Amino acid sequence: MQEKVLKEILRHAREVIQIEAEAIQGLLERLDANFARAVEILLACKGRVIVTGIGKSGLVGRKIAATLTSTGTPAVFLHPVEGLHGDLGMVTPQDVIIAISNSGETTEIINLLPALQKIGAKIISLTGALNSTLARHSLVAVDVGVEREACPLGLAPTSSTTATLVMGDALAIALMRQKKFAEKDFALFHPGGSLGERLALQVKEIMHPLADFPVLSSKATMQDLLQVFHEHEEGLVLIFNEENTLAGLVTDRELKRGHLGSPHFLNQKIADLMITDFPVVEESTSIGEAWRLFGEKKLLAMPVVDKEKKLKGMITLQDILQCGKLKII
Amino acid sequence: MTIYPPKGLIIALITPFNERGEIDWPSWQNLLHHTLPFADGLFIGEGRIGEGIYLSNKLRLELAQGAIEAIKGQKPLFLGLTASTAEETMANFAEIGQKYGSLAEKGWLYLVDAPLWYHSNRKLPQFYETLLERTSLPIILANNPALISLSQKSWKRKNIRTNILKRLAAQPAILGLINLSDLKRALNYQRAVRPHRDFRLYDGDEKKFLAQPSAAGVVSGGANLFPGDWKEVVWASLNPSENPAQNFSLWEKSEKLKKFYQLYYNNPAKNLKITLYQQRIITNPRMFVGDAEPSLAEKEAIGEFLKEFFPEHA
Repeated sequence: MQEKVLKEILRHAREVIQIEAEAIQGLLERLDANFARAVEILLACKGRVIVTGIGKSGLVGRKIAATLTSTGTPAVFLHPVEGLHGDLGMVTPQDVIIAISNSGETTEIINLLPALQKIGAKIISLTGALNSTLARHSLVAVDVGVEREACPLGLAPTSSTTATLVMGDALAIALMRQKKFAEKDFALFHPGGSLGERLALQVKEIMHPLADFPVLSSKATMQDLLQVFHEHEEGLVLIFNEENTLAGLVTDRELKRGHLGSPHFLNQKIADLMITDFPVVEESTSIGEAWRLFGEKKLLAMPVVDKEKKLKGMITLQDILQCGKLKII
Repeated sequence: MTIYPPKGLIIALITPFNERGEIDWPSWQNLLHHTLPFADGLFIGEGRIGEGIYLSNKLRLELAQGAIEAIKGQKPLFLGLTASTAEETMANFAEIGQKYGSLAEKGWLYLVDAPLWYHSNRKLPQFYETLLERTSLPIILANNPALISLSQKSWKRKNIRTNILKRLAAQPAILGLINLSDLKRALNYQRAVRPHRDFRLYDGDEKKFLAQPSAAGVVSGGANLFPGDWKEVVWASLNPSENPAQNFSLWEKSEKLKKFYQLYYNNPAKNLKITLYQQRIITNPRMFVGDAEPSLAEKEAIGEFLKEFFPEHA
């Protein structure tokens, strides 16, 4: 490629990026109480959030609906034309509509307004024209106006759709923060994402076989237990009874508690120290669900059983943290 | 309540003259009739296109007052009143403000000033503070480095400094800027005026608007000849409808307007007048200052262009 052509291509690309970056920067000045009001309305929504828009605004609307859903605000996309041909039946008075139109005069969106108002759904608009028909008929209008488009003749909205997309993200994340939506919830809504993918794994895929852990009889002495902890680094000892069934678990934590709690530690019985009230997880349980159980029961390890409740292995909190690359919140 | 100037197509009209060097009002009326239905606003006495900076001050005021009386509020009017000195400009603003102050309240009248024509960036905000004490009319600034380079003044800068614009935009009566500088400066200006949400940043360079349109609109000289096409292109640029059926037609129009721009931008008043004269919209291509006769190359290029787009008149 000729140097001149290369330079021209890169110059054009830089100009577009500069113009769109400025459009996003400009949103900072446009953020006002209306945005906070929109978040309040969405927080109070008892129904669903329905996003609508057409053309590129429709594509952006689909992404906003997906982002809202992923971050804990159930949302669907309504194509405005389909809306006028029957899909408006999905809208209830409890729903909140997010209507997207940069000019605020898009015919297909404006045509929806009377029906939406009759239904009684609340309308939030994302528009670049605060005095437009759409803005005037909205409960709240969020300003996504831009100062310049990067493409001529309205062939393809550029800065304006970028600004709308960013404002949609801002709405979704602000809502998520208000709802205290945590990583664990995020994972539950993201079975297809990389984080979700890991947390959607089944316990059996990351559990340890029983053979990985030291085993003691429930009749063993405390000295034996200390010896086992000394020789193994797992920090977990499985205690079996005479019937060869799992009777209890002892982790570092029980050992420390026992030692600190009694001056006659070495005279204690393992049965007094071990945890016996532990849940078990089935091997088909998802990592996400297992994580929830760990949090709920405040455990460091859990036995894994098959459908017949037969002991198959162990899973530890450490396994899950490593799997999900998570941290305890 | 402040009424901001309109968004969209602001047509910068040429100023026709008769053989005696007077304003040719019949031609002007004809041009008005040709353009008015398509304009969101009209700019009278623009520096280069309307020869505003070359006019005598008497003629400048005659043009301004004649235009106000003729248009009678049918469309918002931008009046170029920049004179050769700060004092004269200030007197022009005061005189028009005194006579037509009530029109501003209706959003019919805006005064346009290219301050670097007579004043440097230094102490420009203080100058406007004084000027605004003497007029009640809202002001739109013009930043036109090509115009300033024609000035006798040897200012260090040919553009209004971004920091100065930031201070000027904070004045409640300064409502917009017509900018003819490059994209980098345009983006800097955007940042500077951002706290004033309705401040209008018009593109003064049509070619730049045709590539990356400002949301406020454009000040166009080409619309003297092609007001309908410009109106359509500006409307589509500011209100993207994503109608593929329109795209090709818009693209063709845009290409035509760019081609026309290439013909006249070096000498806008002269070349616009020649085409308007050949299309019988004005009766005389005379300039206020300088030769109206185009060079042979210009003549050929204009002839070719008119033959292509107006075969019936060629």
